[in-house]
Amino acid sequence: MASTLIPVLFHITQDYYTEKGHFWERFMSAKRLYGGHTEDVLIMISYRFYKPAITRKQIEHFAEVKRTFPHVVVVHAKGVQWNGHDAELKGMEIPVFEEGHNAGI
Amino acid sequence: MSAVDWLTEGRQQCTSPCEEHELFFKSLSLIATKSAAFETEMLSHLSALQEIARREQVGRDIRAHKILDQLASIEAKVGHVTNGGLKDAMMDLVPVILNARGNMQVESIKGRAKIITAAISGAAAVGGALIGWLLR
Repeated sequence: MASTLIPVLFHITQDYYTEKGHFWERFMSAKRLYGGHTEDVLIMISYRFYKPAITRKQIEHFAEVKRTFPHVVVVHAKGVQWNGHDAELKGMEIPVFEEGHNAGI
Repeated sequence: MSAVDWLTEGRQQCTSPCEEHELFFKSLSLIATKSAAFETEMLSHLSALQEIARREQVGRDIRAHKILDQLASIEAKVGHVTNGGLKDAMMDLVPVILNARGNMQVESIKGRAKIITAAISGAAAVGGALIGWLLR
């Protein structure tokens, strides 16, 4: 019987853009924490606290997260400047939700 | 001037809008946002790890119950033995049996194969002897 996915939050803040290696440090920590349970967790990339313009680099980061964790969603996306990259996310099977409460969990 | 003094007295002396104070409050707001993000993120990790630990514990409990059931079944089979020494010896073997259950199945298949081979070669030897006796 399939178990309910366990939500894990990744907040995008200004540090993501200003601190070099901020993403990789957190991503590697998550890999270590959930190494044997990547199928069980739902990574929720959240824009609750910061609404940036999405860059190509960020899409590559999302792809890397998706390669390790099969269940990834983007939440609190209302107000984010996607610049056409939201279609790429959908192509990677990463659903985008405008709010946080409707992420299907 | 302390930070508190600067915020209270210093602000009153400022002509509105004061750029320095606005910058300060902007930084303060940024720190508050970062700490709120950090807090919710850490809580989600703690909650997730707790749930993973709970699920692992459920898995361990299921395995433990299976072992207990097997032990109860072995105990029921050994229970009728009245010889104390033999019974103790049989009970000592229980953990070995539980650990090597898979290996034992393989060994029993190997043992059966050996017996069949021996039976075929024995039958061939007897048959050969019979033929030899008939042809004499």
